[in-house]
Amino acid sequence: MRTLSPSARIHAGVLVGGSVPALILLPWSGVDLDRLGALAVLFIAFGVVARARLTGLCGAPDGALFPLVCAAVLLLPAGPAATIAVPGVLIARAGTPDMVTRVVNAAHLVPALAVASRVYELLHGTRYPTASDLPAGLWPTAAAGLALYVVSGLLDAAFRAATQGAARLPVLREVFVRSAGWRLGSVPIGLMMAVLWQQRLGVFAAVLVLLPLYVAFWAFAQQVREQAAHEATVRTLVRAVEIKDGYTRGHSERVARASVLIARRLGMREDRVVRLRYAGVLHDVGKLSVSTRVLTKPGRLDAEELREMQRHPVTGAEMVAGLTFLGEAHAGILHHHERMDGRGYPAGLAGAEIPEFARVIAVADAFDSMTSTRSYRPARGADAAMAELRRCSGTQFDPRMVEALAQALARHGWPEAEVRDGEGSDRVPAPRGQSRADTHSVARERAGGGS
Amino acid sequence: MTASEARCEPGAPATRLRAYTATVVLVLGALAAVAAVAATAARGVVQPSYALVFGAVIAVGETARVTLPGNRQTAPLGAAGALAYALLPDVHGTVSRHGVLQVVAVVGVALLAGTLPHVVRGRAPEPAYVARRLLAAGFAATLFRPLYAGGGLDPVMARGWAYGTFLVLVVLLTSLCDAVVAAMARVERPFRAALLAELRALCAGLSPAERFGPDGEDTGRAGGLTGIGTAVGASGMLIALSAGALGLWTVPVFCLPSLLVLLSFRRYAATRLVHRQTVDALSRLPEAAGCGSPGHAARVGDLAHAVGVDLGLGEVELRELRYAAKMHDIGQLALAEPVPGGITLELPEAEQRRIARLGAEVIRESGVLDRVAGIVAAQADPYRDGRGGPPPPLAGRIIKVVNAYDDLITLTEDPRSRREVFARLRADAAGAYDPRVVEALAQVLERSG
Repeated sequence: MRTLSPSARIHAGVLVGGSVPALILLPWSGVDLDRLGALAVLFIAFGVVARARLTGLCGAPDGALFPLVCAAVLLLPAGPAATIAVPGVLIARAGTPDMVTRVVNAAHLVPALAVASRVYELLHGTRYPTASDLPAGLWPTAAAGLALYVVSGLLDAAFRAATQGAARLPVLREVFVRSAGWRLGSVPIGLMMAVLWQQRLGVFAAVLVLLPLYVAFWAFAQQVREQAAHEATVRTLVRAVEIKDGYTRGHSERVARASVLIARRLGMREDRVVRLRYAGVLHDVGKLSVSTRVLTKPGRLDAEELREMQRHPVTGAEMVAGLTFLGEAHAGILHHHERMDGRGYPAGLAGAEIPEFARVIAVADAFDSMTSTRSYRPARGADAAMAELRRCSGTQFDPRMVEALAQALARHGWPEAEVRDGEGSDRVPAPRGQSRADTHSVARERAGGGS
Repeated sequence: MTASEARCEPGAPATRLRAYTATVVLVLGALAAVAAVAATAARGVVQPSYALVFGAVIAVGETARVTLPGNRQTAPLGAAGALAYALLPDVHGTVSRHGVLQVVAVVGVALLAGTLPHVVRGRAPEPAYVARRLLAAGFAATLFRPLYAGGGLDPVMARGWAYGTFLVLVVLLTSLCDAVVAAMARVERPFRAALLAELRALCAGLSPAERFGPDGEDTGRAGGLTGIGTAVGASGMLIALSAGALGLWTVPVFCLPSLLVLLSFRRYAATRLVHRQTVDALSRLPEAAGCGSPGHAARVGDLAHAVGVDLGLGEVELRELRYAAKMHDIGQLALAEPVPGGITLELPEAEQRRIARLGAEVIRESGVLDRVAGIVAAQADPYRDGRGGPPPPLAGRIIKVVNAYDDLITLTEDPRSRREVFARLRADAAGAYDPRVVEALAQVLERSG
């Protein structure tokens, strides 16, 4: 169990300790027992469902219970509403490991519900809303929903700031902005539920409203998982490429990282940054079609071998042609060996004709290659590599990209070159006969391509 | 005559009969549409404002269709709207008077309107899909409208719980009917298997089990509540009841949950598609690297899947099998010298198994595809290891047989040599191949001709 800061302890103590007497002292008068029972069952049932499958959505699993909480504010006095909502939230969160946060967050509901309920009563909201109340009845509901959102959000943010020692403003912003859509959207859903409840449908109405929402949430959760599985498959793709050529081990990943640094510096849009990352990771995928003999040949490549080597951007682009999510990244992979002076390959594009992605990757690729240790030479330091990049800036590299990388490195730094060459070779056996005498560092290969 | 040919014989008439079931669905759908439109045109539209509102919902829902993996088309909003129109009770005290035929007509016209944007973009829906939607709406209306119009429902509707139970019953029966119709229309599978798949999809939406992961099985089994069918049924009832209780203006408001379902499933389907593309790209790597004949991975993937269907594998296992079969040659990438033509069959068994393990190693690093990696690792293990140990997993056995078959056919370079290839697979004295899988493969190939 982790230790809590003193302020977090006080916060937890007051709220959890105070919630038990509060549940008893809050108004209970005029409670409809049928409703109380039905809502209690709903809270528990949907708490179980939320716990089982909606983890990771709406911030926390109990976020999914929010429409039900809103309906409880409208249908029940504060005391019973809080009494049945708290167990539901505890159940929904039972899967999360942090017991203290779980209990404290459930306790936050008590004051939030009490305030919201009071607001609703002060504005003459009725506990038996019907269709005829609707246009006028919207205001108390909206005010109560807002109160619920604000109070619970403030308490959550305060507790997070206290436990994580984070600055208050960013936490506040995160808590309120991230949950705004769903939490405020839950208010009309809760109202729908309450009104339909009143129209001879009772608990059935609540189930009808909640079921589609849960199905949608479930699909969102699946989507998140599928996305993760997809990322994993892309990683497998990269690993498969790196099997063949020991030196590239980790190279793709680092090129991707450097490309992202450059892109951020250039202020690229986030969706383009994501695609550029993929382009960085996959830029050398075509090396798979270069025979191991050529790939690992010590000494200079002859003309035929050089041609084979220089085909890799084209084959690489062909290999990933079917991946629609790559978009612009295709051009980045195809042209990452072009030079600003037009003497690169495969198309001999010059200057601005070269796609932006390709210009970024060319710089990132050369930089990582120079800062990696090779068996025939030690790694250059980042400064020496930058100097080399600057020297070739304008002829080989786009000066904008070189400068962006320099600025990004000045700000974020670059992990010192460890011995990367051949690292991890114990996991996937190295190809037989491969000396790992890496004789085709990217820089050298570029020189070959350019001359 | 070989054993497989003999086993195929009684299957042939059944296959022919299966083709008729699809035609029956189309004919029924067409009949319903013609009768409904004719009757409605003759009598005039009753309560046109209701028809207009629900027709609009259905049409909008239809323009926003989702194609789920497995090429299942659904329109959650459109289907919910149609169901709601069929189940519409008194609207704010006014008795709704539209009959079964008008429901079918409105749904049909709205379907047509909603389909137009798709047709313009060159993606016309399958006729079977339209027929299904019409028949489902007609079925629900047949259960509800005559009873309601005749006043038979009045005592039920007076009690909330009884009304709710009745509606749930109607929706359940409609879903069942729809599943039967869908299974009749999907002729590529045996009826029983198709019906089971439809029922599972009904309960579990996207058959969540289809996706995998460390806990893939758990979510798969517990998928009952989260199906798209559940969402459609609940939304349909919700829209009908709220319109009845509060008035027609609530219809767009209560469409919101369906809209959310639509959006979430769309995103999910899109991600699934992208993932599939990546797996395909991964499976083509060995070919690109010169270790594998072109199309080998895809052929083995498709054939293994077909054999898996024949052997009755569930959808989770099928998806894992397909992925593993497509990626089965990844291990060859780790070899310094590519195996000539990528044909591993002639290699010593120990070497074959080493390549399999290498491939599994790569796949396992992804961290998510562990079970696929397990299958890939087992693909070269013989059916009987000679020491009485347990056989490798079925998926691994399938890949071993299918891979050997494709290698042998490629080696002989003569597609007519299938007979000799099978003679070799069946003669297998060492017990490398599972005879059941070999026979299933023979059947699959026989059927596809």
